[in-house]
Amino acid sequence: MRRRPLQLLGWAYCVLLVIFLLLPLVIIVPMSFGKSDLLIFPPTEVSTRWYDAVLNDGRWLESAKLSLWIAIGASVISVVAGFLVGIAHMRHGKISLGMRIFLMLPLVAPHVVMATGLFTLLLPLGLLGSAPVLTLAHACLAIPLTAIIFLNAVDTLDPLLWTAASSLGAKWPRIMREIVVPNLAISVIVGFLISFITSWDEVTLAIFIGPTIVPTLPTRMFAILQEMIDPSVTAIATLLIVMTLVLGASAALLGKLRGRREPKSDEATP
Amino acid sequence: MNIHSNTAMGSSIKLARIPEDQREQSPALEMQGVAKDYGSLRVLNPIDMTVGSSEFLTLLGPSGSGKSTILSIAAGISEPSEGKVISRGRDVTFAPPHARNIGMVFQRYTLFPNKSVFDNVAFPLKVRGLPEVQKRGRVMHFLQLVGLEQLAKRFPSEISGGQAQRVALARALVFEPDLLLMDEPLGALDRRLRQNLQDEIRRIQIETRIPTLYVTHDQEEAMSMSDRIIILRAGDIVENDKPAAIYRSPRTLWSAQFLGDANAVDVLEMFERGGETWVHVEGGLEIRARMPEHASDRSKLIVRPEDCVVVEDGQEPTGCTAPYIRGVVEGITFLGPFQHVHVKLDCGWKIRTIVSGDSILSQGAIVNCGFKANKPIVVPTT
Repeated sequence: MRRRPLQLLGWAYCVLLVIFLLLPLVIIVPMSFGKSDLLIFPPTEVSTRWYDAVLNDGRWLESAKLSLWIAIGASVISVVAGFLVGIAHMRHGKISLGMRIFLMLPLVAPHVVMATGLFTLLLPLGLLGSAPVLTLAHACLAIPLTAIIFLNAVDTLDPLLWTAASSLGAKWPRIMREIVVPNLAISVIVGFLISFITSWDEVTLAIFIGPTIVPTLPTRMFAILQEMIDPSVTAIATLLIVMTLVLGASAALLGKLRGRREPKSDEATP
Repeated sequence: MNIHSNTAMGSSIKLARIPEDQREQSPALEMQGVAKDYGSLRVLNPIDMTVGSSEFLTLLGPSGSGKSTILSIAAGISEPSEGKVISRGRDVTFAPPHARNIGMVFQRYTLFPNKSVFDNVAFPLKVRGLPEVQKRGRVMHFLQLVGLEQLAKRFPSEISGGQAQRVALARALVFEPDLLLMDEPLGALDRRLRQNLQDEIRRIQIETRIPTLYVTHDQEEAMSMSDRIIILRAGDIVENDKPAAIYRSPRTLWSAQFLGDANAVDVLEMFERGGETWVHVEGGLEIRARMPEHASDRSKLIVRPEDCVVVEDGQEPTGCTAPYIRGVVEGITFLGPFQHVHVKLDCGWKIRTIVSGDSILSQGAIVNCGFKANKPIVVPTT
């Protein structure tokens, strides 16, 4: 019974945390539907004026397109890399703790430090402002996440499945195609969504080493905010929030679907 | 289940690459001087063994005895450090599992979670490119064989462990492998289910005549299912015979006590009397005994508990040869159809024996004990 007060405290903490994190939404979303040229909360008149402005502005669309391609590219790279980590874990014995920590390093390193380091490295090579390089950098940020996802997914798979399939006559390409990939399919999708989000709203690296003439979407938002406060930013922000929420929610839902596919324990067998 | 229609169907859609007559002749598997080292550690000493063309052979031994090593070498999961593995006349020592045409059943179920029961069983046929129509009939035939045809559409997560193991068995048999390997397939199941499946595996093996190499550490399982048992101890084969032969004439004290239970006492002297072998054992007793040729000087006399007959003092143990020895019951455990009795004989020898469930012997009772004729046997200590 001692659990009750602790549980209540836990709930209270979570609720407060969520409120704190979501408070900006409560302000930004309504503001984006305002009509005035200034940022006013609460908005006096409701309109979709700023959404029209954003969606008809070529620069925003160009940036969105760039961000989209970079996010897709980074996701593909990090999913493939994470998948390979999972395969190594399955076929060549458990990945050691040291290796796991090593794989997680990009999560720990501050983005500013990475960005500064990359800047000094890329400058003499003439690779600053290159979209493919930023794609790679974003992939590196996402690899720890996909690696964790695939390591956990592989741990739920019986390593003997491979041996079983092999003894039944299947060679490795077929085992991959028919057994391994289908059983990791949900992880592939979850890994892709999480990588996508990681890249989609990444700002630091994008500012330091990303393209400048047509910057990524978050970079352009940041630049606009610095120059002038324009309600179109709130419209963009709202669109980004919606996108992130949808992607995040689908990743979480799919994650729940994963696992629990083993035969049940015996109770009622004839 | 109709056995005749099963066999007819089995032969009409033959998959095996080897003609029937040849299949019958050559052994399913031969190991010649096969040994395995892990670094400097030798886990399996050079062994020779053969699995006959339709034989059920069990590898029995405690953990670490090398039985799983032999199985993984037979499967092609690991390579032997020495020796050759021959399957139906073909050297497969270094062939990968997928090139061996073997079926495997593991302790864990290892069904493919993304495939239905039907597709699990169909997998090896799909790999072999069997046409759809034949595939369907064959899969359903084998599902019927294990009694699960009505579960074909279920997924592994929707069936029980015992059912999953039957599916695994059907999947391992459906392509008529040259050899079926089973690695403690009943280890994860509860006792009642285990006995059910023992009978069923044996029935299916006899019906399909697929040669089977079965690994277990469970003595009763080994005795009840096998045509032949190989007992392994610390990487060596210590017994290799029919279950009854090993049980009746174990080659060593260790195997006597590993396969079943045995009372043992030191042999002091062996001598002939009236053309028969007698032994002089500890405690001054002289007992008539069988003595296999491999018995040595450092020997033990062993008697199985059921071959020791105890009766109330004053009565004569039936079916036994003199001398009879008096003793006192030190403990008795009721187990339903029979009771375990611990008796301390007057000569100092403590024995375990069994009496029927309705015997009224109790602790402290004075008993008369005899050994069934021709049952005490002399074996080497090791």
